[in-house]
Amino acid sequence: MIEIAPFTGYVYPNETIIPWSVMIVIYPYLTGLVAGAFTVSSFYHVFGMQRFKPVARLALLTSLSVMLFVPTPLLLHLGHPERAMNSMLTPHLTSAFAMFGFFAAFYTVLLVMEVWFVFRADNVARALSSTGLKRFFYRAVTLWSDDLSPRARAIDANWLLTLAIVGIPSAHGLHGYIGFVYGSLKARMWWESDLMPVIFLFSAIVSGMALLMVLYVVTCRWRRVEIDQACLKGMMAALWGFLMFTVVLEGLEFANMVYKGKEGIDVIMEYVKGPLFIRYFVLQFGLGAIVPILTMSIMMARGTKGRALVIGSTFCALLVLMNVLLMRWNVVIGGQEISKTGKGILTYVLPFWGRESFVSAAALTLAPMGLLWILTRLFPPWVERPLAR
Amino acid sequence: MPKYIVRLLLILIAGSLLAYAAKVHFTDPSFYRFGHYRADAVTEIAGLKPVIQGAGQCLKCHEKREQDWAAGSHRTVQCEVCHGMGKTGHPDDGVSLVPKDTIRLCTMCHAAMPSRPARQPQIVVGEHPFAGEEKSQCISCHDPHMPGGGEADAGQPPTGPGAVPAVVSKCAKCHGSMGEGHKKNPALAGRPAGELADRLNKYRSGDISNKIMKKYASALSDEEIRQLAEYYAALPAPRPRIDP
Amino acid sequence: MKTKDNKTGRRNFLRTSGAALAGLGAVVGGTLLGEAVAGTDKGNNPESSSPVPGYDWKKHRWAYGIDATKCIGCLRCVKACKEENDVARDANHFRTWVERYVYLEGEEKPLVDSQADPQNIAAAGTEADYRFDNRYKDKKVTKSFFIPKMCNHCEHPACVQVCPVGATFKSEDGVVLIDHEYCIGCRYCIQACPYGARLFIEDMGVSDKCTWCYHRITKGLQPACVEVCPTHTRVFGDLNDASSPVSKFIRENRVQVLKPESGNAPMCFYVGLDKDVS
Repeated sequence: MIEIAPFTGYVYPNETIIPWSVMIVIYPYLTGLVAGAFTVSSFYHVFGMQRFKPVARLALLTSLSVMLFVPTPLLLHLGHPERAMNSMLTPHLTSAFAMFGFFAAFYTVLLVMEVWFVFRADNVARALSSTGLKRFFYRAVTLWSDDLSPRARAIDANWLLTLAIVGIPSAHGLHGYIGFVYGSLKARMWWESDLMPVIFLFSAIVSGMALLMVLYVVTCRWRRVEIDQACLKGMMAALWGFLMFTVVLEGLEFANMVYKGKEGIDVIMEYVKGPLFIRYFVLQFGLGAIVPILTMSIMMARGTKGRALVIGSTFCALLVLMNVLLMRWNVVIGGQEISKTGKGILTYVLPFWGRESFVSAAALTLAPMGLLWILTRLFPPWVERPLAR
Repeated sequence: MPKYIVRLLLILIAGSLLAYAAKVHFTDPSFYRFGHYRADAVTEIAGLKPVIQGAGQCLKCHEKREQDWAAGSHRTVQCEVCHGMGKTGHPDDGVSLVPKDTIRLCTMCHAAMPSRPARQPQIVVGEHPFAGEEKSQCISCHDPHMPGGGEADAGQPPTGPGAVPAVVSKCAKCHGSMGEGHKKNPALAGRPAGELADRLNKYRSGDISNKIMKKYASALSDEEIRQLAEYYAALPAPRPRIDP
Repeated sequence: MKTKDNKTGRRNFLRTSGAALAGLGAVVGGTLLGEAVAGTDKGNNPESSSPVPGYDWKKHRWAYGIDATKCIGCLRCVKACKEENDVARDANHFRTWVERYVYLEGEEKPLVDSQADPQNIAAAGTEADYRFDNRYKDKKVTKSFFIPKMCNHCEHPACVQVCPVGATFKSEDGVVLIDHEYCIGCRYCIQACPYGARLFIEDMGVSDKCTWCYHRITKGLQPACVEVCPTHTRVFGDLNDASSPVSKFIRENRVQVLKPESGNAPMCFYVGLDKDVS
């Protein structure tokens, strides 16, 4: 079922089928969560910020769970998913897309290794104290070694630090190249901007932080564990800072475009004031950025703590998650709704069912959480014990 | 080095080797020969079979068209444009390629439209002579293979509506192929025949003084003047132009 | 006791893993050696310098000319292209198309439409054959014209730059082609083209575009659109041949290209562009 996009004004005949669908909105959203979650974990594992210890291992598992789903929206979108490896067999080095295969492979291996090192001691302990299939699983995962000597632990710590440090540019490269793809595309004025990779990266970090905040609160509730207020406050402060910077960057990018007023700006302004107004100004900027920033500012100024802090910060985190998803949508879909003729506007039709539809997008956004649940059962990341009944 | 590190490194090395072997094995052999693409692709694309045959193919059997179509103003209109493209079964399948709805076909190019250049012959279907009459098709009056008479008719008296007097080519050089005028040379199309004939006579006799027009008009016979006047009077008046 | 078990266990593990690794190494090494011996070129004769038999692509530099002052908007080029290249016979897939620009009295901006416009499709009565409707016949039109459009086969094609796998490329004779057997269907090239010349074939899962009828020009024929154009609007030829139609076209006219600021250096040269043509 090919969706033909209705249009006003004049558009090139081939533009009436919008090439990049909701799958290409979900894909940067997922890689953004991967990069953001990894950044949160690196606060502890690289920069040694102790207050983030409660979420550090959870953040790694989150990054891994989402990372394993990252290729799926792409495979669902490709005309020939079975030829996907062509980009690794004969990568065309002038193409930003060719980098994906290598960034993704490198980062996945790195992340698996880092998770392996982080959980090695726990896995060895579990291997030694289990029987049967469980024992075999944990023996295999630890590569049949039970070495927990001080020397081994020191080596583990070295590996971990190296991987975590290398992981930062690796994760940011994995997500940043997408921003470069959009920012370097001279054919679409809505995308072409030097700031695009930075905007994508910072909004990615923000989404990862927000996700971790929500996951931390939810998992603490489920496990009936007291929420570490310092950790939550730390994440909130980081979210506040990065979010403000993101908003500044996004605002700058839009202001630049309007100020320069190059050919094609008329239809862009018509689009922004028309179909895009609610999605962009009301939801993305207003509800998704200004409201959380103001709320968090108030909470920080008043020293909010306890239950109010938990509710307030979770509320802000959810709004930020919405903001980042909308930002991806407004960039990817928005860019394609503005015709290359500079004389027309199209409307993307999101199918409900199908390969690239609302249902598949929702499934791909939620499925990593399912995998995360499984991983937390196999490799519990928690640092505190549940409260006694 | 602890054993688990050794095993880890071995797994990484084995994986890398496997990946490299896969790359060597799966890469198409013709890739990189001329550039970053499969050389065989060029061969495959170039090897596709043409569909549009061109007039040369049709003329092999339809030789009579050499005399009319190939010599007239429609020689730029390929056979397949009107008779159908990609009719690979012809002639063996016995399907006739003679178009039925010539009004739809001819108006494809000749329906009057503001966007069409003035030199293109155009008609407003509703105002065209005999339009709307029963069984009236363009080809009832116009020969589709030689719509304007053409050079093949040189020297013959004009026959039927639409026929072009042989001497028109001399006027067309300055006054445009459809009498639409060009720069300082006035338009002739759509002006009353009596006025045009009168003017030509006056140029010929010298009553209106014009060195260039005297030369051309003196070469015309009375009959030719009459034909020219009737011909240009019947042409559609040109669109208004902004004079340079 | 435990130590002894561990030692034996470890020895067994090492033995097994060592054997497995040796086996893997044999497989990998064998593959690489085999490929090297057989030679990487299993395809055409590596000695030939042209992939098309009987045609030397190094001798030609193809280019295209469009004299938009002559275009009558008959759309035979669009129809011929679809027949020649089996392009989807609908209103959303075009390798070439024609745009109509109309300035109404009192208006500074033109009204633009193409044969794919729903009103024009309705007037044609079918999505498989094309004509412009006559919606302006009762309006006061001050200026109006047609502009044919197609792939410009740029010298620095943005589409070739962004293809991640090398499925689209510029041939030695100057034609930008697409390898339908290699394209993965990511559609980055469709985004990158500033002219909207590229389309996606959903049934085949690959990108597509005008090829200047490569299968015709390598046989000495004209592209289908040039062949059928009744008014000499479309002109094609070899820049290496000074007497070719396109060489003359460029020499005898002031020619322009579309969107020169893109830096793509298009090889379709226009006469008769106007200020609002995009």
